[in-house]
Amino acid sequence: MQDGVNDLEGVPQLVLRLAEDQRQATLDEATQIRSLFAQRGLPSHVTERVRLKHEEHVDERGEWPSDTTPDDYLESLRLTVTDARSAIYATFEVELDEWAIYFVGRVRREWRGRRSGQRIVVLFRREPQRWITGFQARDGDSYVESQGGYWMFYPR
Amino acid sequence: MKRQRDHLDIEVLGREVRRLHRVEATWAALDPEDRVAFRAEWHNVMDVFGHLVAASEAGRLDDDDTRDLRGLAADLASALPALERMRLRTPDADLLARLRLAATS
Repeated sequence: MQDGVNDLEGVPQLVLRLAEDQRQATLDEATQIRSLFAQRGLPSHVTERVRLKHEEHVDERGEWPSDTTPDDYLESLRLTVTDARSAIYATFEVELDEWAIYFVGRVRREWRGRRSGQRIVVLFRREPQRWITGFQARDGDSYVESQGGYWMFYPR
Repeated sequence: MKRQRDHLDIEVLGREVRRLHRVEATWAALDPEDRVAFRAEWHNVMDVFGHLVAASEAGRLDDDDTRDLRGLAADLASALPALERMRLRTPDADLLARLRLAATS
């Protein structure tokens, strides 16, 4: 991993400026935002929260195949965040008094469970960068668009 | 294939409605991020509910699933005050009304 801690220092403020101005991120900015949340937001290993969300979305809801392990689940979220083809969406979350950042990516074939959705959604708190949840949204982009925010980055 | 998925959707919807009642009891004590997670996931559950109503109207559900869906719709209707209190997405009133009408016709 080339990005050191200092390389990401200004990125939370960048996200805040973009969100407050409802501005689109450039390709370079989107890459920095992906690095920030992949490195600081997602756990580096399987935690209790990962196990809980894995149980809900893999075991109980069948969004991923039943043989998906907690490690596999976490890795699928990481790949969604870092994939340059994934979109980034921001909405102000009153509950947190902070912006929530969504990474929205395609569902790869190996991630399709019996009840898979059109898109994988990985949700974070902007500051501090904390992973909130990761699941497959049945209605994909239209689910995301109904969250009251805007597309910070949408790859063409 | 679609019918099998609809059946699974009804099972999951039932679990989520039961989970809603459990979560409601501890809602205020939950970490704010857990409330945000639940709200985001519940919104997705309501999308699934919409698809199930469409499946029912298209005649795609068998009798047992139709009965279960109507029961869940009644549960959701009675949970409306709790959903509003928790600021969770409520089921479309029109969908609930259509299911009620179908049950009585």
